[in-house]
Amino acid sequence: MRPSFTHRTTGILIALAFLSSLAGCGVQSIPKALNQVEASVAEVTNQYKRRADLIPNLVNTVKGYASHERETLEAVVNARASAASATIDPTNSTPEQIQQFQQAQGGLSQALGRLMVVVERYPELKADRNFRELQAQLEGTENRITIARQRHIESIKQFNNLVSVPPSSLTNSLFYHYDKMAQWALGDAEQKAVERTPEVQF
Amino acid sequence: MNRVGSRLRALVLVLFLASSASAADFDIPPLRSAVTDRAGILSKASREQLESALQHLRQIGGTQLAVLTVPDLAGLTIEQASIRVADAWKLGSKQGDNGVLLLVARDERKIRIEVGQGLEGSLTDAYSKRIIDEGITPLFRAGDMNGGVLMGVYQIARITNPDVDLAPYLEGHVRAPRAPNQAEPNPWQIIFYGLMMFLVFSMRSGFLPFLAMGSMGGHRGRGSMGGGGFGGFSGGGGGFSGGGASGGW
Repeated sequence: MRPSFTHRTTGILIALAFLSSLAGCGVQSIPKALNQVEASVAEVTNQYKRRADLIPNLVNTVKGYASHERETLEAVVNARASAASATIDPTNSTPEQIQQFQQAQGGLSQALGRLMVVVERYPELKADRNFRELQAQLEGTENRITIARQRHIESIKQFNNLVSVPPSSLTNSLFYHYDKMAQWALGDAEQKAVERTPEVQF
Repeated sequence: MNRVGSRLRALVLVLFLASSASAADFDIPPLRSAVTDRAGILSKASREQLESALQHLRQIGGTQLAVLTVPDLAGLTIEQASIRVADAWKLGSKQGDNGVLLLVARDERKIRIEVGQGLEGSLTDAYSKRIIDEGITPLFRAGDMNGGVLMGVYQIARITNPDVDLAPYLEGHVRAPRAPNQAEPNPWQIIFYGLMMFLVFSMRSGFLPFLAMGSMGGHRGRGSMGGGGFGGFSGGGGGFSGGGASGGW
């Protein structure tokens, strides 16, 4: 009786030691990193939505002072609509999906950039308290988007490191079989928005 | 042996170069107290006032507000610099995320209020922008750096913690909130503020202790009590996600 008991204890101890050695090898950190990626992409889409929600109010305020800037305003409204229809599935995003999403959001950034250039011609609008508050909110939201994207890119990098760099990559090939994730890159439209050089047309 | 030695030396050199290259970047000072004046734009008196006010705000209201002035941003935008500092300092509590950073970049003439996630609902981007544009910038433009920072801190605290009054701590720089039923200002008040403005512009750094001692004996005591719990202004793990506003003067 006794020997078999000690035998079992030793077995359990060995299994525990094995598991705890795995803990440093990605058994825990790979799923954690995956959760982090999903959370950070949700934050990105959340902040983009926040921006989209500001737009109707912004467009109405601008309309009050600059009603004949119809074209620019319509471009913003249309860009918002197409940005709203492009979505990302946080648990299963494809590179095409990401690119489409980025393109749509980048289009909205550009349309907004052009609107802000137009606004420069209307001193009364710029002095309007409501407009100034909307502008502050829009700036804040753009900054939040930048930060959410940075954090998302960083979380993808961390996940990719875990699934591709040993020793955690061995754990991945044994248990999880995850592939590297597509990294977010700046789309053409977005690159332009980041550089903030909207074309000025007179 | 010699080869190993030279390789080692090369490695040390590379490491040294790498570390010095990154040291040339924007460097985040450690969070030792509520006010970190790297740019040297604040007087000693203002710094002490601010520190006791911010200790009080943290103890009573829970909001952890910190002030950082830097000489320059080393090529970063103020938004980039500010989120780096906020992420490193982790102002506010972990549950409440109630931290705020007021960052001033001297050479770039930029100001930013970085708002912790838990305070984004009360200290909105629009309010932050208004504090910068209407509270801080006019004083900075007039050359009153101490006044601008004190005013900014006062107005931020009024929004995040309406029940905590920092006016006694920041005496001499902040406008007393006018009672809503008071149609026209009291002539004595005008004389009082006129005198105060005169003091501000005539002896900007020297007048603070004089005023505080002369008129506000009682509050002085409270102020030093607030500063009694000194040494501990480390961050509590608060999170930031880019809320707030920026401006310049």
